[in-house]
Amino acid sequence: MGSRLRRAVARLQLSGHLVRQRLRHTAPRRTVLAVVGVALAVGLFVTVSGVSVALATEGSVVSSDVDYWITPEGTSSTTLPVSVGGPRFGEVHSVATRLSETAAISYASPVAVDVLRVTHNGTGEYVILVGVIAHPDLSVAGVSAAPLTPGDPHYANGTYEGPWTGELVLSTGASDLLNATHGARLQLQAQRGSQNRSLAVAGVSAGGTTGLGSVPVGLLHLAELQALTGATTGDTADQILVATDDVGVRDDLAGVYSNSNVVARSDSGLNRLTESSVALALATAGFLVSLVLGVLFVATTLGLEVQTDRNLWATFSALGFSRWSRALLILFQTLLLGVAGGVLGLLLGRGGVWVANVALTSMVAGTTVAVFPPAFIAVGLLLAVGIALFTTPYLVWLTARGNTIEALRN
Amino acid sequence: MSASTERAVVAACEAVTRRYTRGSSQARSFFGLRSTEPAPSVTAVDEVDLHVHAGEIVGVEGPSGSGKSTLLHLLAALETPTSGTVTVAGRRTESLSARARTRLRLDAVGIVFQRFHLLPALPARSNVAVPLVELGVSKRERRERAETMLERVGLGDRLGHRPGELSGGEQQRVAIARALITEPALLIADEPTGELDTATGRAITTLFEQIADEGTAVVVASHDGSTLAIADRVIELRDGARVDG
Repeated sequence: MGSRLRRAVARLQLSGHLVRQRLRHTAPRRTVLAVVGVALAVGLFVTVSGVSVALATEGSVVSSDVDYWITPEGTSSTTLPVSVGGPRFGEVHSVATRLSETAAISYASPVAVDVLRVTHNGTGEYVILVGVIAHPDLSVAGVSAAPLTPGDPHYANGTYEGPWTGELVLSTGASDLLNATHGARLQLQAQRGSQNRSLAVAGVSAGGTTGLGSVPVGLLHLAELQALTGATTGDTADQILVATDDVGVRDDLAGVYSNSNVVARSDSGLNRLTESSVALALATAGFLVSLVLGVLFVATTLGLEVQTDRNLWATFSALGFSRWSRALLILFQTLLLGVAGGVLGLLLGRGGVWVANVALTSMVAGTTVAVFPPAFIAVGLLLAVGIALFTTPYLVWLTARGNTIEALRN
Repeated sequence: MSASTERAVVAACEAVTRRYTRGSSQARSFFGLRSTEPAPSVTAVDEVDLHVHAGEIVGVEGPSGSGKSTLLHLLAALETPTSGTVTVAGRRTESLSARARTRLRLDAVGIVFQRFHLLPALPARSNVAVPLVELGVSKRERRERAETMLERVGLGDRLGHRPGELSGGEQQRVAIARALITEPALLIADEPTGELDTATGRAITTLFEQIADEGTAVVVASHDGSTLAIADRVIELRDGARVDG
């Protein structure tokens, strides 16, 4: 072992003895307070971040449903599912049928999105049309599919010769834009290879609202949208929406298509993005506030202790310990106390997360409102170390400003 | 002691003066004042010449406030002179940085305090080994050297005892062992028997004689005549100046 390393290890051992000396002899109460201060800071951070992360990952969905999107790899999972020219899934009706037959899944629907020009009474506007297999509980971008005839009648086992319902549910934004209400007939300009069709407004649904305001959305049967857009070949759609109350299916969904992602559903991708940012901001703020509180607390308690221990540091100086060496002794002691506080704080935080779940789930929902991912252990300890590192310069300054000889007389 | 003049000079003061400015913390410390009390300026050591040779015991006597402790602090490189020169182990302390003076203390000076200043959580063995931590000595060697040193001061049966479990005299022996663990050329002792009874004090002074016999220069400041009786020579200070001729 090199001399430098040996010296560092010896200083660490000596620091351990000094901490023990404080705990047993000179300042047990203040030493415990310093540890508790770090523990409270870390515990606070873990609890606040536990709720934030739960919000961000939607572990705290305040409904009994846990929904997932299966999206092609390479597409953004945080945007409204508007896909123009992007990768699509094939044979989506059969996949959705197979998924719906799974016990843990309430229903599954492909979601195809296209932007088409819709005309009403001579007013033509581009509307985001979303094709789905209708289900009373299904809503996409906030627009409910309940007014649509359940299922996808026109699909007819892939023949596309089933009944044409011509039903369309408009978002309020689309309804306002086209000045079309329930029962209004709309003309659609079909794409090349398809024939123009008319649709009837089966309902107007609140929705289509994003963080950027209201967007015109129309919900219709998938096979009819495919027919309008010429996408019947290959039976394609942009995403698959899966409604389930079982988080365990997530891994199964990942294997449905190769090169796909499974993401938790939210009402709107933009909302999701906003919520994630808020959660991240909350976690960051929690970290910083905890850091500042911890530093202030530890600096106060250990600062008083260092003042009391002036003759100890003067003795080290008289014995030939350099200023650097004494600073390292202080750093090691603060780190030891910090890590002890960090471990205690993680336990406190884990308890805080448990309490939050027990308290809030009984009042609000039957699901998790706070989480404790393994990464919290590393981040919590990092916070504790940060508190120690930020406190040390102040403590070193306190020891350095004293008069050695005066301290030795005491 | 004529033989001392033939031995190497371990520490030397040449026309050393140490003055504390009015209101300074050192001036307050010199007068034993609290931080809120005003302190006048003072010349703590005034034009003192002193040579300390290897194996010699030099006693420093004088009333309180005569500058004994300040002279010892100058020799221990805890302070630097306002004027004059202090040389310890061949190095002029006034030209050294604080860091270099700290290193000089580690290498060449052992200090024994009146109040021991031991670490209460550490057993005697570990207390004695503390300076070796700074030198980067291995744990095994620290332990061996500390045990040897404690046996040398007569505490071979108290290795694992903490200061609270030792008598005042034993604690001072531990402090002396700690001061000697780095094999310094100069041992400084400020009132080393001030907190001990007469019999224990006598045992400590006997220990100083043994240490000097092994070649270490010892400078002892004391009010106590029996402590100074072991000195090869005694210098007397009054108002910071030597008055012993």
